[in-house]
Amino acid sequence: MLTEPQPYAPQADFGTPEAVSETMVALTIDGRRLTVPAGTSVMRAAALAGGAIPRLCATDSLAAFGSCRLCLVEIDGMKGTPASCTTPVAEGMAVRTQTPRLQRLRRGVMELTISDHPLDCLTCSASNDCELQDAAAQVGLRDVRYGYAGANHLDAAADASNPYFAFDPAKCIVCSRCVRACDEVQGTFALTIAGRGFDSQVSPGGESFLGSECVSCGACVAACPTAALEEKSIAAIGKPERAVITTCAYCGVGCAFRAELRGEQLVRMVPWKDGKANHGHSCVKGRFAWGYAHHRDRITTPMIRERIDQPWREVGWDEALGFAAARLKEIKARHGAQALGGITSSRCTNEETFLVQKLVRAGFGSNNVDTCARVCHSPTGYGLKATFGTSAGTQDFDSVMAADVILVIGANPTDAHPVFASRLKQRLRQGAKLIVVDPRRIDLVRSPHVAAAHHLALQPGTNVAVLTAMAHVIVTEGLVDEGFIAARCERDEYQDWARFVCEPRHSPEALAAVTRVPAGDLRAAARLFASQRNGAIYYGLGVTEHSQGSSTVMAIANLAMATGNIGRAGVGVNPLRGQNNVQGACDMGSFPHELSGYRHISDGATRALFEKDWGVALDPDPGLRIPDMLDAARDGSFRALYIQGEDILQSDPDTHHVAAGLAAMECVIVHDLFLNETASYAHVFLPGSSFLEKTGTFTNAERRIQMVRRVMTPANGLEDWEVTQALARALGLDWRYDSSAAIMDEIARLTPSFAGVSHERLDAEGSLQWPVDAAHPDGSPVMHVDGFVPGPNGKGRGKFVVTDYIPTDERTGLRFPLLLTTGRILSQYNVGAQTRRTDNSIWHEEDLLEIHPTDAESRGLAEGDRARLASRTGETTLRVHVTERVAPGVVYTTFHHPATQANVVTTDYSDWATNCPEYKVTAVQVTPSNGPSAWQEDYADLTARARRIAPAA
Amino acid sequence: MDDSARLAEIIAAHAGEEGALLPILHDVRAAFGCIARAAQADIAQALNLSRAEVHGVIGFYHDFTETPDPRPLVELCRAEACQARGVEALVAAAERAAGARVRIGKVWCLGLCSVGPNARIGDDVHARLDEARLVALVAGA
Amino acid sequence: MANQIAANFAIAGGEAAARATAEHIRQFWNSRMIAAMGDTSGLDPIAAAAFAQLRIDG
Ligand code: SF4
Ligand code: SF4
Ligand code: SF4
Ligand code: FES
Ligand code: FES
Repeated sequence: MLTEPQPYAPQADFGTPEAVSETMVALTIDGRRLTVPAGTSVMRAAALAGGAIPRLCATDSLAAFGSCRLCLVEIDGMKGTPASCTTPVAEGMAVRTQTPRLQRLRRGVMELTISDHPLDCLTCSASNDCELQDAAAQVGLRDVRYGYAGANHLDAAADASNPYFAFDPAKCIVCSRCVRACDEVQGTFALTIAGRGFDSQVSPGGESFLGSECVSCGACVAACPTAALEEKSIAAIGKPERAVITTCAYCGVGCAFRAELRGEQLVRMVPWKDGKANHGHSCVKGRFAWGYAHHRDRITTPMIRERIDQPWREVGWDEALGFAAARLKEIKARHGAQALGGITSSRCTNEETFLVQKLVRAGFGSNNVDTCARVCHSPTGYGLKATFGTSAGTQDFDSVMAADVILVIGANPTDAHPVFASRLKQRLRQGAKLIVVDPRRIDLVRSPHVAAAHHLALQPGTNVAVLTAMAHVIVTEGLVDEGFIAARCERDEYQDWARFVCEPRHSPEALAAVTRVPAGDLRAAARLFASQRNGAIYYGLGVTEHSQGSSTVMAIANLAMATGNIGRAGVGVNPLRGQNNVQGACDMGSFPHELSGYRHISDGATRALFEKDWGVALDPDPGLRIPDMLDAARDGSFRALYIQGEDILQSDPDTHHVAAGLAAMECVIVHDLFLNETASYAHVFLPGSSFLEKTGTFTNAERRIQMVRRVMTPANGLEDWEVTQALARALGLDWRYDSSAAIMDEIARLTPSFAGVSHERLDAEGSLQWPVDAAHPDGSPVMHVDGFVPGPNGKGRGKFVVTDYIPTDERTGLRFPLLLTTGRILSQYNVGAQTRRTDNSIWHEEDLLEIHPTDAESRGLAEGDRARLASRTGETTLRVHVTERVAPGVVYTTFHHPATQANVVTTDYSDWATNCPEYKVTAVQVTPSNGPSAWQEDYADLTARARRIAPAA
Repeated sequence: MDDSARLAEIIAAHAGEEGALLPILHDVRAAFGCIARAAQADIAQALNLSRAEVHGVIGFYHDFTETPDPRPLVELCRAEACQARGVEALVAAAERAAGARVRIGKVWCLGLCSVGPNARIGDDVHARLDEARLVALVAGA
Repeated sequence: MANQIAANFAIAGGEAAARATAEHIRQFWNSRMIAAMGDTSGLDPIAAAAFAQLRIDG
């Protein structure tokens, strides 16, 4: 069971990686008989049998290396004493792990190692959690014959440049686990063994860790057996005493972690080896950037105010909830249920999200509920439902290890989904081919030991055209998987689609004028994709955040079906979700037109199910989406909004439009950790709890439902679902959930794809991938294996959808000649509310504008200059970074810092089908500037005023 | 031709070769006397290696350094046969004679084991050294 | 918005495009937003036809 906090013990380490094989091999170890899969090392077999062989250079996250010679064993019929880590088991093998000879040899090895190691165990931060100590004890080391006076490295200077971990070469035993972890696991190759022989030393390329290529993922720290590479927090706080398994709250990879604590104090977050999404790996955000949870900006007391020009007044929960409920009721009485709405968060748990949409539908009485997924992955919902029958990625992450060709389009995994990117790179290093479709030369295009076979650097906004041209090549050159289509897809729709893509106007040659992708490259890429056995497509916000977002998603689905790449490992269509629970927020019925499990609100049978359970009548009419709510606020028909865990002012496009809509409302309730930008327009602030302070579930990009567990008491006193429940009760609803598990039970009862999900099962099994139902009792790592999801009118056959390329209305012209596209970087997360409040800022102090050298030069801009970035909706200023990563005519920035307000310049253009905003294309002009724009100054002033809190009376 | 053009030319000359790193490092050292950090970054980029990997290779071979050392170099063989023939006893004197002006390097076997102790200056190998001969060699380097 | 939706369905051709556009709007738009469209004669012909259908269907 994973529920109970475990007393602290290091995670089990079997020495070498698990071997997967159908063939089983029987052997004896110290007289015990056992059977293990072929390919297992003698070391792992012994560990499985419960007898650990001493080891230093081996750890089960890395391939065996065989350098320390501590793990020697005797094997009948074999000469000498082979290293058990590098020796695979064989049928009938008889192994002895403990003999006088082995003992002598091991002691000798250990003596040599220890003779160059400080003997300050008692004051060492790793004491009692050190594999070197363990090994010394295992071999019975009592004395070191070489003495300690010889040449040594005990005075070598430590490197504390990384904010989160330190390197102390004096404690290093040069086992090279760290180097191998950086190479094999993370794929950054930032470490090396410098020098040779006795002079060998671990080095981040002769620089400091901070100045090196290191991306601070922590893999080397996790792999290090000693205190040489260790989290600084261990030295500061001490060895943890208990551990709780939980899930990262940053991105859609959903890494499982062990939160390790002393008392209520979090000491460190260590990736959990049994986490099925991350297999013991992590990135800098989840591993290290959790300090925000206790940042001094965190608000833990409810606050209210009559008008937004007043300072905040700190009040008790009852007063705040009473104030909010009275206002909501009063507005509902005056203007009707349609004047009320709510926004759920893809950062909150499934349970919390489900409650917020229930509060809106059952409590407020409208369907005006939307989610921030609107601004990122709503086109995925629409597009995959239209083609495959349900709105979800088709694979688990492990599937990438079976892919032969990988198409990455509009995603930047090394920055946005780093742990998945590490696996992807592993597969590329094994020989899979890569095609990148992106306006920018992202790291994957070329970084140590990986290189894309093709980088189609398209003009922003032309995804559909590129995909249609690829389909053109595949169909006209006869590369289609006819068998798959005949067996699995609707014939007529396929034929319509094939006719459409074959039209000469869709040839790469014809479309090169709009896409700017050379036709030869495009043809080669299409042939490569179609010619390999397993082709997998991964995409991100660079696909969805366009006015053709939904069309692009459907074009991707078409391509996958046409090439028969659905329904087995190594293939599929994989949306990389931005925030941790985007998938869950969508699943939980956060969209105004559908209930949980993607069932339309107008469907009487589904509504009846909910009405019976909830005891209220539901409105069959789809509710308002976020931009519609803001429009309606300006014309007076929408007046009250409950926003949980979202900062729409910073994250939604066209900041002026959002601000005007919010300012027009009479009751804005912000439920968050911090006084975010949106809170400047709020009347009620309900303090939220961090992911470390609550229990519930997140669903990652592979539909994997995992537990988030309460690690410490909420600083604000309540878990977020309790706050929503309290608000519902203040409104007169008789909600009585005694735990988030009870909410999940309700979700399971009302949602067929979650039918088999419960906290109890998740505690026992670790995770489940939906659908978990009668047909898939243990969940579904890969979807659409035998057939697509039957739709209301479909028979479970894949539907090709003709996707016409309709260019965006956003055009460059004389005034705005450049195209701006946006993205994110590794160390920061979304609007940065959390990561900016950690030491991660050391890697990204401000948002920069990337601009091609020729565009910079013609504007008189040099590296680091401040520039004015203007579009037809607004302007801001930021510093430029001159780089060839972007093509001439294209500029790029991130949106992590509120002072930049990149969304002041983005427009209100959006995806035709879902209103997902077109963040990825804005026509802009860039000119030199001396200081902040007028908006930035006004805005700084406004926020300062809006954040005033009245001194306690 | 400026340095960066020269470096680019060296890299280009080995482009596409299997195991191009060592030949490039040798050529760069020959051209510039060392392999500066900036050059390491360019070489890493060209070969799609990390900077750390290039640094690791440079650190492994005594021939390669990051900064130029204009001092003349006397390489003294310190491997087993030369040890057996007494090279270690000559080291102190050689270093005294070298002072700050000459660099005394180590090599491991020059292939003349039977006639050691041996040393190399540039392409010339000197055998059967005793203290006086070695000191003279160092002084004349 | 309506014009943009119509443009994306236009490839299906007149009648079918209008039907698809109407169906899309029915699925995703709040009925008050549909009602608030008022005079739709200025819209793209496919969008206008879609609204005409939505009115008939109520
Ligand atoms: S933290 Fe990660 S990237 Fe940095 S050196 Fe260690 S393994 Fe490599
Ligand atoms: S730093 Fe740690 S993992 Fe790396 S070589 Fe030294 S002891 Fe091994
Ligand atoms: S941010 Fe994403 S990749 Fe990084 S640790 Fe968290 S879930 Fe994993
Ligand atoms: S553990 Fe096997 S050689 Fe180090
Ligand atoms: S050992 Fe010195 S030359 Fe061979």
